[in-house]
Amino acid sequence: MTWQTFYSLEKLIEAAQQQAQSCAVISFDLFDTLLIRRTHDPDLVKPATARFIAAKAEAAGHPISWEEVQDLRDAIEQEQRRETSQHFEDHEARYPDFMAKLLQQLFPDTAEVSTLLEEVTSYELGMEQTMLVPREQLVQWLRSMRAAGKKILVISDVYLPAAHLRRLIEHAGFLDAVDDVISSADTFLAKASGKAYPLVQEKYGLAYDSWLHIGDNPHSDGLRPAGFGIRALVLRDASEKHRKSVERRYYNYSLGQPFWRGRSLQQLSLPLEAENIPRPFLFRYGFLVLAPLLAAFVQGVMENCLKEDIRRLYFFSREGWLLEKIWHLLAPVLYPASPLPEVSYLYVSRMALAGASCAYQGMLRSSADIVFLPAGNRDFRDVCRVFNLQPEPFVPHLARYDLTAESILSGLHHDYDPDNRRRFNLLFRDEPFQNEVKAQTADANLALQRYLETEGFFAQTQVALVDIGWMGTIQRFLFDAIKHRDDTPVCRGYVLAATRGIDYPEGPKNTLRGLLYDRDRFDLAGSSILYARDLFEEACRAPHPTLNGYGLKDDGYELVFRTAADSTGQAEKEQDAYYAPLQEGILEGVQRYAPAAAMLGCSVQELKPWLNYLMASRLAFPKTEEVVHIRHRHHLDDFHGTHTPTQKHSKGQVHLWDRSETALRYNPFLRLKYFVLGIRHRLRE
Amino acid sequence: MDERPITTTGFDMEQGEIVRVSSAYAINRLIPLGFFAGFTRFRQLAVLMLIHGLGRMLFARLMPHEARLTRLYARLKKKKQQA
Repeated sequence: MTWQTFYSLEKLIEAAQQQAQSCAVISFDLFDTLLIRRTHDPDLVKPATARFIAAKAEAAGHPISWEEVQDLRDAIEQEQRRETSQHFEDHEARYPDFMAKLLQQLFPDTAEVSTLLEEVTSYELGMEQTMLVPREQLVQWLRSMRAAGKKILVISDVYLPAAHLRRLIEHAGFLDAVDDVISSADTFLAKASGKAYPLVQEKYGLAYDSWLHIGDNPHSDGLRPAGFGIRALVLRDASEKHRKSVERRYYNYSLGQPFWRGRSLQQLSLPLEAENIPRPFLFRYGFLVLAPLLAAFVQGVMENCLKEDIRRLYFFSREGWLLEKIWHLLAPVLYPASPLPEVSYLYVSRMALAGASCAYQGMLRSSADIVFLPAGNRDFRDVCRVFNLQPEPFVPHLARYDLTAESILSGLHHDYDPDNRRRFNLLFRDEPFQNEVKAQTADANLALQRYLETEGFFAQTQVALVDIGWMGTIQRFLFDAIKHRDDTPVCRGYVLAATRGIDYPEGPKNTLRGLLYDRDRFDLAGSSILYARDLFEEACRAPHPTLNGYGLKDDGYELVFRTAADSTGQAEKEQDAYYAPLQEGILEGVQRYAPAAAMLGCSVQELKPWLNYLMASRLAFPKTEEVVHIRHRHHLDDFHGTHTPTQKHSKGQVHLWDRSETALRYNPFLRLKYFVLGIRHRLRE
Repeated sequence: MDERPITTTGFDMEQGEIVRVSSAYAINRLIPLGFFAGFTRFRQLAVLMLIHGLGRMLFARLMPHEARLTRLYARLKKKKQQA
């Protein structure tokens, strides 16, 4: 009997349907037939396991590089294949055998390696699972055949035993439609030599002439079964060849050109088969653009925590809400055996911390300067609003310097007199003024300290603080509020982008670093992130209202949140609902990013060229539709006042992403103009 | 905007990322866009554009001749190595 070859799945299923009518048993090959691999090379999963084992070995006091682990694994596997070939026709290996031998060599002090073997196996199978996708049409047909009463078998030539294959099939979701799974690793009788077919025939009492076999290998799945009179159909899927060819090219290019590493990672993350359903634009944008940027940022935080040996990490609300979720998706896959810090979410905000930061040191000039950066803030009333102060008690102090609460202190507004600002700056040296500030902010500070104590903040010697950006104001205020204490930990701040509009007061106990962009390091493409800061804030924002302050309550504290009942609160809810698909896309994108990054073993530094491209192409040179659909509907920022600056300064505040759809669509040089302006700004900085 | 799958039929990121990379590459030749670690080579871009754009059709046409093409490719490669 000869076998038939098909170049598309549809035609194969059509022929199989006809053949199946006179068959009682249908057997399938597993890999590249029922399950397709995201990677062009199945061996690419192995280095991830080698890195996992190397991390375990290091933790156990036997430092070894992952490359050495991989070489050793290959050598032991080859040795087993050589030994098998002396007794069997097929040169097969069995994963639990050679992996146990490898672990025994690497962990000589471990008496029983079975626990470790199960851990390693679970990790490798977990990686395999993320890289395998069920071929939807074929699985559906398999189910229909099973429903029609056919016996369904899965036969595979692979080093994984049938028990492991069952786990893979179960994860793929069709184990219930399979009667049994046969692996060459259990018997060392493979399809390649043809020995597997009589074995299966004997075990299940099958008749060769009522048996249909479907696979992808012309030799093992075509020639061999046909030799026994089994009807064999071989799938040489052109579409799959095409997909793998694309993936292979990105992978190979990435070995020589670092730019393609991120693209190669994204290629591995793309949804396939039934995963690739139509999605709304915001979901797609979250999946393809924001997910890699945010995941790389969180991965960068992990790398820094491991390097600095940080054991506690706090995500600042509210953007930290999504970042924490991303952390939990990445950590078990990227660093399953490394001592990552314990993480939690900290309720903070600029508004809540601003006042608390003044309780011991008074109000700093630099803190007040931050207030006047946004164009909407104009006078001392805005300072009071931000620092949560009552303006009335300050009237006599202001009067001593010929100022009122309404004196214009920002150069962005009409009737600004530089002398007002000069006299205002003298207030920071005025003791009665500072005493009033301290008196009004003491309670908030005490409540904050109680909250941080509850969160175990002072129990650490070093903590990582993670926020989206931009000037590190939250960390600045937080550190100012607690730095008087002897048990204040070293605060290592990591932000997505550090713009440093006002110089950050770095010191040995307080540092800040922008991971995707930092103004202290010249990075033109990275600075594109500044085009759409609100996008990142809104995309990461938690669905709860912002924190307004810390209040004292009996012997404890209470967190005072902003009301969600007013029009601003409602607008925020509307914005959250609008961005829900974006957040969904981000989280799904991160889920795919994690195994791809673990498999390729890419560091953030290696991904940076592609991330730079993503930022430049999507933020500095966006398509009109992207800006129109992505820019926020509502953006709450209590820090910004409601005053209107001069027309000249208002114009200066209009960025590319604020321009009208008409301007974006019909002005061909608009993006270039803004980019050149951006270069000028960066060079001035 | 319409709902669309994320992966295109040419196995590219939606809306043809490779075209976008090419335009960024072209702009970068005129004005520096930033650090891309050498960006890409023109040949790589051309191959990727071809494979994303026409790969579907090409693979469907060439797949039945896979064995012969593989032999031919191996022979050409060997010849090149000898030269």
